[in-house]
Amino acid sequence: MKIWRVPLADLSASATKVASIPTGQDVDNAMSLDAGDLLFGKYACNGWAGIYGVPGADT
Amino acid sequence: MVRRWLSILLALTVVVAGAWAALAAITPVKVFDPPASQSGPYRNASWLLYAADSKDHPRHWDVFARPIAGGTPTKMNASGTKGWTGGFDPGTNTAIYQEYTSGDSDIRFFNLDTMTRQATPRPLQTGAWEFDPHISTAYMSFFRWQKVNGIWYAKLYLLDRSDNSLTTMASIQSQSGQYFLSDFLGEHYATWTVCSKTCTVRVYNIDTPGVAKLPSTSDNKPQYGSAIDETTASA
Repeated sequence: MKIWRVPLADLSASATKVASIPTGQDVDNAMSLDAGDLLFGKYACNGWAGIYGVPGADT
Repeated sequence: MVRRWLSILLALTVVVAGAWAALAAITPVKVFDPPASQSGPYRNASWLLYAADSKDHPRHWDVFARPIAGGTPTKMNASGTKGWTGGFDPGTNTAIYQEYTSGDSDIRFFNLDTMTRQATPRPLQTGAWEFDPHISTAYMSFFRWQKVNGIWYAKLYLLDRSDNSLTTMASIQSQSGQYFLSDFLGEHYATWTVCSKTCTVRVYNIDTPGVAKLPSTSDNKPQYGSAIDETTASA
């Protein structure tokens, strides 16, 4: 599982990898950005989720 | 936990800002992860908004807000209902969320300053099943199931908060085998995920109405869970 970034002005540009989630873990279907920090629910193999983030994801 | 997160965040922000030219991937850090599940998070300066279930009632989701500084979470959806998050009205402590039972689903506001539910705009005061809300300063977005000529459609609407006018951004037949997930709403863009055999992300430009598809990534994996940074205009 990877989180990517792509500029909207050029949708033909290559996406840049922002973060990687360890194998066996998954991101829920919604993320949010607040002041450049990405937040999301991350599921583990046992089916339980917690809230994780990527600080400065827009930089 | 949140204080710890903020400390890590500040430290990592400095590191990342200096090292981003190398485009190194970074591993996500824990924000809030007590027993059972928490997901659908949003944050403003004062509150962390999230949905949570419990070990006794897995997948019974309720909506909570917890002070960033720590403290007791506030449950937003009414007793006897379930809920899912939609975000904060920018610049306020009012959250938008979905509240549902087996027979009805509505979009609600909850003011965390007064700890009260507030009325939503008139176009949302219907008996239809409405879900997956988002909010920005100028707009709201939400899905509504509607029956047209005997066929059910899930329609993704953009509501202009200045005049309560509605624009249909996307529509999908219930029998199509596809499904939508509303991902993001800002002042200039809205995004959603379209899934059938795989999942791809669509971007709606509010200023010059039109829909574009995000490009495939180099690993060509399914895409979902998009968000837009409107300052840098990047997804």
